[in-house]
Amino acid sequence: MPAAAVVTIILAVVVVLVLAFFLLATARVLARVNTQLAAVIDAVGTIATRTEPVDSVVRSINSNLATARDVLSSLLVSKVGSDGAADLIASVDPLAQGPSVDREAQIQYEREYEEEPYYEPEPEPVQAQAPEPPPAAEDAVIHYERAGWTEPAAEPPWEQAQEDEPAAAPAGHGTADVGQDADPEGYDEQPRLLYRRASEDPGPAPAAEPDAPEPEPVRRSPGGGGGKIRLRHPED
Amino acid sequence: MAIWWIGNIVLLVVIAPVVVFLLNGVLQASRKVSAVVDDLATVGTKMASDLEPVPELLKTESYVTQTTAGLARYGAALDEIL
Repeated sequence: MPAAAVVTIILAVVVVLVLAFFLLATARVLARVNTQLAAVIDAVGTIATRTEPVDSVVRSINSNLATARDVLSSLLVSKVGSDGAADLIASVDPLAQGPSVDREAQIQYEREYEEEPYYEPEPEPVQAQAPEPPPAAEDAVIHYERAGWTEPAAEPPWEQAQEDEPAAAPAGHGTADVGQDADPEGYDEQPRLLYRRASEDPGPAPAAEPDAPEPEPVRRSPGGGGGKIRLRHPED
Repeated sequence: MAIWWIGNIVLLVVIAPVVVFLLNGVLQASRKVSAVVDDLATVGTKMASDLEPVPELLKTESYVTQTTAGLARYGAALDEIL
């Protein structure tokens, strides 16, 4: 046998051994992958089994809650009417009395009365200046919320309190003690005054007259703020 | 005979390295797949364990049903009271 044939045989054997080594390694890795995939398939099957009743359960819960809501809403409407029910629902709506509005108003108030420098009266011509228009409904609502009542009333609350209508306001919303000096420290004095001013604004202002008195300058926040929350000091 | 030797040299220098290179690529890809499948198995196991309280929704459904019935009774009683 020639030497070349021997070398060829040796090389072929080496190549076959290398092939076998790599193929065995690959087969081992693929077997491990197969085992892991089997575990994954089991886990997915378990997940599918466990989540199978979620749809029906959630639908059932939603249906039950909707039924309860409908029953209570119909009961409320039958007792206080649709308008009263809407007012009551609005009075307990957390979005309507969230702390952010009060917090913003408090921050605004502190800025206005602790730091004076940014207040500069605007030089406005007297004749062209009309009296300050009454606050928009949104402003009135904000004043109203700061005053401790959570729903606007058609008439001032001190008159409403004299009518003794318990159905007109929900319990615990302070309508019944309007006009009473329940707070000895005067905590409620200013909010009540604010509400009174907001409710006593005399509607749309007439056209400016030449001899009209100069209106009271309005304090405005440095950032503008759109004038939605206008707080006045009681001594102003 | 010379051609045979040339064939042996080609086999040793070209064919064997190419085979090793290709098989190494397959092995590396398999190992990457294995690592990914390990992660997948870990996540699947955690998901399965996270979903263990899902059957408690059946209790929740029962409680909501009972609460709804109680609310209906409460509403009926309130209707008669008011």
